[in-house]
Amino acid sequence: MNITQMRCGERATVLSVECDRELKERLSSLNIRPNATVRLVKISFFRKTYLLRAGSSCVAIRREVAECVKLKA
Amino acid sequence: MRKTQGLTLILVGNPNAGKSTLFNLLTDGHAKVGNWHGVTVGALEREAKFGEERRNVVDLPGIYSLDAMSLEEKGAVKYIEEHRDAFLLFVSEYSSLERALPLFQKLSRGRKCALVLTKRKMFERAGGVCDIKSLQKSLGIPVLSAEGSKRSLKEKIFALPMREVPKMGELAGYRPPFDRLTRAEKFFNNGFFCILTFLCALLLSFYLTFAPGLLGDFCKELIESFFSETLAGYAENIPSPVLKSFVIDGLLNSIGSVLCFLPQIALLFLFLLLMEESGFLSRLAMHTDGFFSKLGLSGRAVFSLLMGFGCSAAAIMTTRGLDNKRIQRRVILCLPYISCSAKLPVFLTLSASFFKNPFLAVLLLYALGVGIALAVALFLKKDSPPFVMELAPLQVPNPVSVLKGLYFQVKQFIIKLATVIAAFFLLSWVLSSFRWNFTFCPVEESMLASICGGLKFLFAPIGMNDWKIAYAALSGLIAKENVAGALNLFYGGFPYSAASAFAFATFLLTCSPCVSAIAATAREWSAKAAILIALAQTVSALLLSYAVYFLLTGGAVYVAIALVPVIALLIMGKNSVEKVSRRRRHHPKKIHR
Repeated sequence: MNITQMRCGERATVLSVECDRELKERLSSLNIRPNATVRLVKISFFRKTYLLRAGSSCVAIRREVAECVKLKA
Repeated sequence: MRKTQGLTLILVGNPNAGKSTLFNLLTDGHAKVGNWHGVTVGALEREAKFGEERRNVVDLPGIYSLDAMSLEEKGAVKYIEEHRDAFLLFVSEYSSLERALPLFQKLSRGRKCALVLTKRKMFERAGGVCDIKSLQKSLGIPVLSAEGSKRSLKEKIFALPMREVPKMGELAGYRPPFDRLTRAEKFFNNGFFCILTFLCALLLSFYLTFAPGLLGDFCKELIESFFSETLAGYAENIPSPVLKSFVIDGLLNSIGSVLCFLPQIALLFLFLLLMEESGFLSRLAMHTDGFFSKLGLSGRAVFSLLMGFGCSAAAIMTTRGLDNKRIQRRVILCLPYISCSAKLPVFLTLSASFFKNPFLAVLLLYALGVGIALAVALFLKKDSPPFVMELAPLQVPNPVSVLKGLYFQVKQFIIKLATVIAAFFLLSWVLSSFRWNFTFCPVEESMLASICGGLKFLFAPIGMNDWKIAYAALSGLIAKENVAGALNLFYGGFPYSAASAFAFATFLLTCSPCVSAIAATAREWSAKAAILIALAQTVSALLLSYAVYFLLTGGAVYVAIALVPVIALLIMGKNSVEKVSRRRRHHPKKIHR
């Protein structure tokens, strides 16, 4: 399961982040890393961009990046 | 940058932590601040004084980690690595400390450092708790809270012990804020309301700025009548014709005709500053990212494009916050088509010649510019980078920050007017009022006529076989405000037809930006590229203006007639191809027979 399969308001725990090192580092620095809890706040028009709450950060990520963030079922 | 002696203090932290605000506080500087991740795009260095003590303070763009993604972050990381003996002053919001700590821990190894925490009230309102003493003890470095008077904070920072730490510790005495959104954040997180609010705010700002009788137009009329009636009235009594021409034509008509637009320019900058300070821009970037991804850009580009409405050169500098060089160059190529505030005087001068209410005409020109910019982005589209962006907290714009920003922009405009623009107009007046033997003469017999007479062919295809128009247009390369002033210097308005006015406006909309923007492009790209781009844009702008004039003066009929057989051929050609479509695993395949 990944972020694009969540519903708005739902919380989940990150299992892994499957992308290149630079992007993984950036997501990790924004609290999106294995074992962190994320909450899906909003999805933009046409499901292009996902707004997450990760710790104290509000982070917007594009769908292709959201698909890389695998969640614990 | 002036190099100074003494200890160097580098401000390091995540974007939007308050580094530039702290920099301004320590150094009495005027670094740009805003509620947006990526306001600071380069290293700024300045001396801070406290009594006899001196410190060299450096403000850097925010970084999230040492594996930097954007260009500005890479520059910041490189700066930190090159200045190993500098003191690192980590700056973090209270709310983001947990997240920023791994970065600080990596940077602190074997270096002298301290931590300053900002935005305490916002943190406590959201339910966060932090005991500075416990935190200081567990981290093993001095920790300060950025509150109290400017003097007391400066005193504390200057009194910081400058000692190396082997390794920074972990958090203690810290509870993060609750995970909850404010009502405003919930409202603007909705894409429909966010974009609707932006469009309404944009229309309102344009309406207040340009509509007849409203604030912008009212203030403009006041300044205009002061120059053209009050002062010009006094100047009419000057007995010497040369001196009278100098005062009325060289000063009042030209400089006055640009200065009168200051209220409207200020209103546009006020709108931009309010957007920046409120934190609204990052939500707009999020909701428009899907649209920008179709153009090969990302939502981050919305910041640079909006800044383009203020100043093209400043907007080009903000492109350092973009993800990579390819995206940066694409946005740089789009920015000249966004109408900066300097083009406002000439657009209003042109549209005022034919419209009682120039509001719609100016709105059309701005919309056209945005449309062309987006078309250029689409044309240049190759790949689209991954979009990851932290949203700034929503807040009521700080009136002090907004007024400071507005004051800075107004001051810059007046300085530019009093120096570059005034020098250009005075030179233009001298060259257009005297023969080579310095006898006073009509403009057609002047030195300028003999120098620029050959340029009259440039705008002949748009019904303006006049060197003065060409001179006015090319003066825009120095500063776009010069165009309006030059038109007033030679004509007192715009003397040609509406079709010529629109074609001329099209040229100004699409030609090369001013030398400041060309210089900014040279810094971000290369000098050769900047000059080539400027030349290509000017030539294409000329050709486009010819095409627009042709279409407006009856050519549209010929184009429509010519297009009919082409469209018919396309339709007939399509029907004659038999398409056989087969679906396999949801991927349709077409076989043409």
